[in-house]
Amino acid sequence: MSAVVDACFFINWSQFKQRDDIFKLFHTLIIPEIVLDEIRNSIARSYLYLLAYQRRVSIAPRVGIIDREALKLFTLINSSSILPRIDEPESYGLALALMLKLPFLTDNAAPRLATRYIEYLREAKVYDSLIVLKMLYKGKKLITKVKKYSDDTGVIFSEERLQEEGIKWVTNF
Amino acid sequence: MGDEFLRIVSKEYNVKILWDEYRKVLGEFRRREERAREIRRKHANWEFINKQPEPIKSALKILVETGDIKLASMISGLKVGIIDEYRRKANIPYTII
Repeated sequence: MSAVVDACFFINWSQFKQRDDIFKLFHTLIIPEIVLDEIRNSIARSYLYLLAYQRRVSIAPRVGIIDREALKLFTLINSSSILPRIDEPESYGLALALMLKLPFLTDNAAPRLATRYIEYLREAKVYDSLIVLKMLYKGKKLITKVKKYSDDTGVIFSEERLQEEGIKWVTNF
Repeated sequence: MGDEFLRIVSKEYNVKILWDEYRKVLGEFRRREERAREIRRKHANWEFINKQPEPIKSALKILVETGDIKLASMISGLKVGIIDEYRRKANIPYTII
């Protein structure tokens, strides 16, 4: 199975020392062409070059039919004045994942929250890095890896978010 | 703006919003975001942030207060990738709530 990846997820994940473990879950990462410009971080860029060389990454071109769905998602999600926003590349990624029936990997809460209150998105699979870590590792190893991931990337998971995934761990959050 | 804009847009697109769930999500988000803001304020390197020229300085302050890099990008006119580079330099944690 492949997964569609957003810039924030890719940038964060590329800093993780066990980053290649993601290919135990997905054989290819699909990055929409319009997301590429957002990946400016040098570590993430180097990782992208490496994956392209290894043919583990696929770049999805911009297509009109997905653009129309992306605009709809962009408008719907950003219509809430309180919840976090989604940007155009990210809404394109979500639209592409929906159309291909593939998981969408993003560390922005907006698409994940939208799957809870927009009925037709309930079938969408939106995973943040915590969900991916949980899919990869089990038990005590999971707790160790979550800590390692936070150390490597500077990402902090809220205690509530950890509890949602059934991870019992006192954070500094 | 409240819920009104979402009502209009969802009607326009003929999309069903699960309003009870939406309100639950809003409540959870407000609570979690308040705690996340405290963490970002605590960890941020304010000396570094205050030394930056505009619009980088304001973008980083928006990021600390809201955690919303897209909003910081939209208001400052800087690309998300650029703000993210400065976020790392300013030691502002990426908080997943």
